[in-house]
Amino acid sequence: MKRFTFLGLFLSALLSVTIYISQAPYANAVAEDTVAILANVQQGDAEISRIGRMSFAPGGVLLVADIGSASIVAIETGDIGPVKKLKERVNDVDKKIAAALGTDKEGINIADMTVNPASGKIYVSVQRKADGLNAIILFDENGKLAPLNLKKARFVRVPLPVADQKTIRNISGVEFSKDRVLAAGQSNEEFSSKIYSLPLPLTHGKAGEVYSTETYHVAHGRWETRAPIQSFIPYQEEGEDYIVGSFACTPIAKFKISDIKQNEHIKGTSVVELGSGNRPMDMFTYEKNGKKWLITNTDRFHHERRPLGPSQYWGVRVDMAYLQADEINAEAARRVVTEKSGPNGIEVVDALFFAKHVAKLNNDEMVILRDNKGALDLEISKLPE
Amino acid sequence: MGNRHSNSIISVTMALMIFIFTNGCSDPTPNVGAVSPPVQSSSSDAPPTIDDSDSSLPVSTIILPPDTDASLENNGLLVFGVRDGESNELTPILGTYHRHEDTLSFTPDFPVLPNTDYEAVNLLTEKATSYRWNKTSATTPTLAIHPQHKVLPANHLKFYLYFSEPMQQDTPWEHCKLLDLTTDQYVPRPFRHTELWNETGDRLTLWFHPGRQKTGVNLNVEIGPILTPEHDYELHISGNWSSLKGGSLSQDVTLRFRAGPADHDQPDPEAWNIHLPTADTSDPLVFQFNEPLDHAMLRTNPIRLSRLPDKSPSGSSLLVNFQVTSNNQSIRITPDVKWTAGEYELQINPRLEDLAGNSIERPFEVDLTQTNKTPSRPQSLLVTIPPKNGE
Repeated sequence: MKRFTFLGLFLSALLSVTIYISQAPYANAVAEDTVAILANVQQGDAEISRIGRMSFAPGGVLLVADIGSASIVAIETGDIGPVKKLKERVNDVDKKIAAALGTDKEGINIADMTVNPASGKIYVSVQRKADGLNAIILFDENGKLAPLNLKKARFVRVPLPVADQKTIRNISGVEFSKDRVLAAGQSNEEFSSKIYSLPLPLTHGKAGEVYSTETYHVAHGRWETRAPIQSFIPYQEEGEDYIVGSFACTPIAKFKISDIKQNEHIKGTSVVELGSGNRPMDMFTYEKNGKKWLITNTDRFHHERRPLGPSQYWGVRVDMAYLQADEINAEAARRVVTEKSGPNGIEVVDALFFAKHVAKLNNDEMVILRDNKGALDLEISKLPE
Repeated sequence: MGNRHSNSIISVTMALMIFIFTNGCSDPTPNVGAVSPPVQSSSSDAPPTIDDSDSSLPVSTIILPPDTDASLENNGLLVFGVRDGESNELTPILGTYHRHEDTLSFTPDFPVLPNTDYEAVNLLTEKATSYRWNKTSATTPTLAIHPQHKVLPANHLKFYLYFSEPMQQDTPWEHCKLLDLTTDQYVPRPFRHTELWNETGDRLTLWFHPGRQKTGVNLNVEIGPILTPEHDYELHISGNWSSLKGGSLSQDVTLRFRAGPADHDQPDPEAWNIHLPTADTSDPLVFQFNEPLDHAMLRTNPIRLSRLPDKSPSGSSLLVNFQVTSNNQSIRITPDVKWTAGEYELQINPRLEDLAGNSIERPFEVDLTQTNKTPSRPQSLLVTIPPKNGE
């Protein structure tokens, strides 16, 4: 009897851990070893109280920021490929999602869009305004939409540290790195931002090993302030792991992950200034012709006052060589705001005009949720050579 | 989130307008193509009752004739959706079909909303049925805005909006405007576009755009701060803002204030006035600040009081009651048991901020060209409660 009990426990433990094995670069992280991503996996209602940003970890694990409960929910989607990317543009995505949720497009808020690079399926997180209902809607290769069943999900929920749960009320990003999950949170009282490092495996209900640290950055080499990160990606340079973050006032800065320690401040190295009046949205990196590029798109809220192009939504690519600045960079490279490109290696990307959300499919293509005269279209677009 | 719906039973107050195609019912041939706009006729039935807490409840059911083509997909027999007001297209909502013998039912994946028109079309008979259930008894939420000081520093950072119930949370800044009464112009885009609600969804932190309030940051340099000293302002919160229960504020809520000089100084506990009680009383121990402090942070464990000598490993706080005065400029501490004479330590949350984001720990912005880069203020104060007179 004891043997059966032990065997049962062993099998349960085996089943409740999500493991991935990868030999190839994945998104922005390289995973070379077998890594358990999830442990103590739950089955049932994921009970997301206010949905936000999303991204994919390997093995079809969707990382979801649950702003309402100040936690990260990792969902086993079972969506592991093969790649079947969207065949043609889907028009009126907002209207279709709204109708699928039983309302009109004014009745929803699209929180984020991401793509599973393993399958090409596109995931949109959305909230129904009238009652705060949360949903994740999938688009397949034919543009057909379906809900991700959050009521019968396999998931783990990792709360942010207890001390922060009351005040961290906006999670501006969640990303998988090679041995951890990173999240950025913003306080609803102090003007501050924290980076959380969640070690693998993400274990349901376990928040004890979460480390957090505050971020600061230096403006114009003179003024040091706390500042919230709007979006970020993990990044490796000479064997060292970094976070590259985009701040509300649009400098791009990097932080060394090894500096992340409980209750410590870390200062970012400002590497690029994109110009004022922009709110960063998404970020990713890609490699092309032996060069590494960083893509970020922004909402230019001063578009009417000083338009940069045809839309308030625009994006830029930055040669990642700019990220190699190694100290607090008093003279961070500044994009030439009056030109489409410059200095060398900083270029406005035409395909990102009107892009409200963008996500990387592979090194050749990105998925764009594009504003089309007030409607939203979903399409795949080529990345610049 | 589902819990928000779970207890409400929506009564269907209006139902069933029967639509018939102009060439419709006489031809039983299933129409599996696009659903065309139906012609509306006016008939109605008694309203059924639907419990939206049970998402498994089918909301639309049709009876299939015996000769129904078995190869037809369910969505070629029954469509349940929302008709677009512009194009008049019926877009199906997401849901699950269940076919049992001669009955086909459709259950939405998500609870249906009140005050929304839905339509079910039987594609075999080309009959359409419209559904709408109006929700009643929505309360009118109320709103209090803090801080309420008549003068705020020109680099003021944030307001707290306290609602009486959870509100619709998306893009809250769209409900907010700032009017410069001195120029009679609305201030363009003054607010940070970040949704910062508390966990219960009834308090919003509304930030002025920090890029304009922070010295040396590009927006501040290029177009200046949001507030101009000596100007009068009025914060407007739209009365159209609705709660999750569906009730709106119904009328605009405003807060008037004047912009004073910018504040770049940290709160300084050493400059606080202290009013000491005497031993064997429960009179309040009062700390009066040298400036108003942050409304919310003052109400979230801002301080801890310990009796010295404190021999506990981590320090133990006394059981006391804190009361913040309405002007956010002092805190009154009353003990659960009467004070005893002796020395006490007040430990202050180093993050406690003033109205411009300067904290005990550090100023909102630090000028790195200055020698004193991080002038942290004292984070604890020692006070001695005297014995009763004559003891």
